[in-house]
Amino acid sequence: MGRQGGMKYLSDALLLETYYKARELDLSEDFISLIKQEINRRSHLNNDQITS
Amino acid sequence: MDLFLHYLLNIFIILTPIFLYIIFWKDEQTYCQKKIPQLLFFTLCAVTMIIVMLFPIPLHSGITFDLRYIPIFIGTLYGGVPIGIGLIVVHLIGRIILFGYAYLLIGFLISIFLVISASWASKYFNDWSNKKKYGITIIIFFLPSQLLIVYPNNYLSIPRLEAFITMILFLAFTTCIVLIVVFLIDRIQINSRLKQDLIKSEQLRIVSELAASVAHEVRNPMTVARGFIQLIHTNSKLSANEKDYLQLTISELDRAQSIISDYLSLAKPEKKEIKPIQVYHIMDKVRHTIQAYALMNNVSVEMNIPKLVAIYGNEKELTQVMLNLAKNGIEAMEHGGTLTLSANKKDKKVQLVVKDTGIGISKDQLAKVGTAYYSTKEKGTGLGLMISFNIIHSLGGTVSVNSVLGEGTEFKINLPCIQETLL
Repeated sequence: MGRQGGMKYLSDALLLETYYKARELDLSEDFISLIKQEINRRSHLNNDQITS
Repeated sequence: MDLFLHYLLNIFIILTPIFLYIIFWKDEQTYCQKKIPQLLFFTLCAVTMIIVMLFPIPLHSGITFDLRYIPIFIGTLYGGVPIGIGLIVVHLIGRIILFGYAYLLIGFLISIFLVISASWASKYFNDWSNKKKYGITIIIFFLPSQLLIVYPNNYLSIPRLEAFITMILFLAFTTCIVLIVVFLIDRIQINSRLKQDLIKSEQLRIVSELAASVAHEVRNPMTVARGFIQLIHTNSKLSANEKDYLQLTISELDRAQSIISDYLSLAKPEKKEIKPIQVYHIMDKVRHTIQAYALMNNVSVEMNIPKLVAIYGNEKELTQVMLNLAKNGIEAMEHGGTLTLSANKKDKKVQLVVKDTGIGISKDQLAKVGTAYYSTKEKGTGLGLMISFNIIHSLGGTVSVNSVLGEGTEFKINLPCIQETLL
């Protein structure tokens, strides 16, 4: 997988579910912010695809 | 006036080689190429000595002296006996050519004495303190004057007392300059050692900066792994064993994280946030974290902590310290045992105690506990305790260790306490 985060291999649906569960179970802040980063990254990708 | 000028000239001649050395020598090659400097050193001393003999300092009644014994002494002290002997030979030849056979024997005896005492002194010279170095040098240079007492009368051209005073004067002049030379050479050696230390510390600094960035990068994947494992762990369809496995995995990940934190805390000083912390809160956190690890090692953890006791400190750091001690305690109990975390309040101090029933620490080992890179573990960094002690000291606290071999160890941490309020 190289040095990139493994989270990009999660499906969108799974990613979101992970996010909600992590919030619900009050897991570590670092983990939650990493998930948020991945979500943001994907939403920007979607924007790019729409505009181009 | 003449005397003074000639004296100055001699001093200048003696000091010139040292100044030349300071200006021209690049001290990178201290350990290789030892042969060439020896020859160079000998030539330098010999030339200095001959030139000095060409400019004798006139004392009274036609008696002259010069600083020729300085190169002989310094040459043997820093160069070794072969150089000393070579210099004696050069000295004798030069003296015969320049002055004939006058006072040859006494000159020869003084030179031999200086070479012998310098070669003796050279063995211990580096171990002596500065005062001792100068003191012994002075003694060595004044001893030859005792020779005059036993010198046969018919060889002296002036009354014995006068000769004695003359010699004392001459030795006094010489000794002043020898001390200056020894001092200068000492300075040069210290400077070159400082340069080498500086290079080494620069290298260490670069390595530690690299380590810091590596540590930072590794943290992310570990956080992700830990998060997902926790997610699985909350699945109630797992068997009890599987839940235990996952709990273990989590605590091993935490352990890896704390090792990385150790290195990070060494590499960069972090901003310290000091605020009131409940002791119970920290100890409870520690207990949670090492629970799995303890179970795995057949160690039971007991807590005995009053609830409303608070101290000033940085929560992360204090947790790190207690975790470190708890972990060490568990690791000391290879065949299981009991780890006790307790705290009590005495006067205005809080005492946190981590006690184990493990293998214990011997007196010799106890003396080294907390020093850098000291570890009795195969895979230990040797830094954990050092960092822990640093943290406690920076919070104004003290650490004490009691241990009985075969029975267990007790780490006691004393920290100043906050007045009890409802937190």
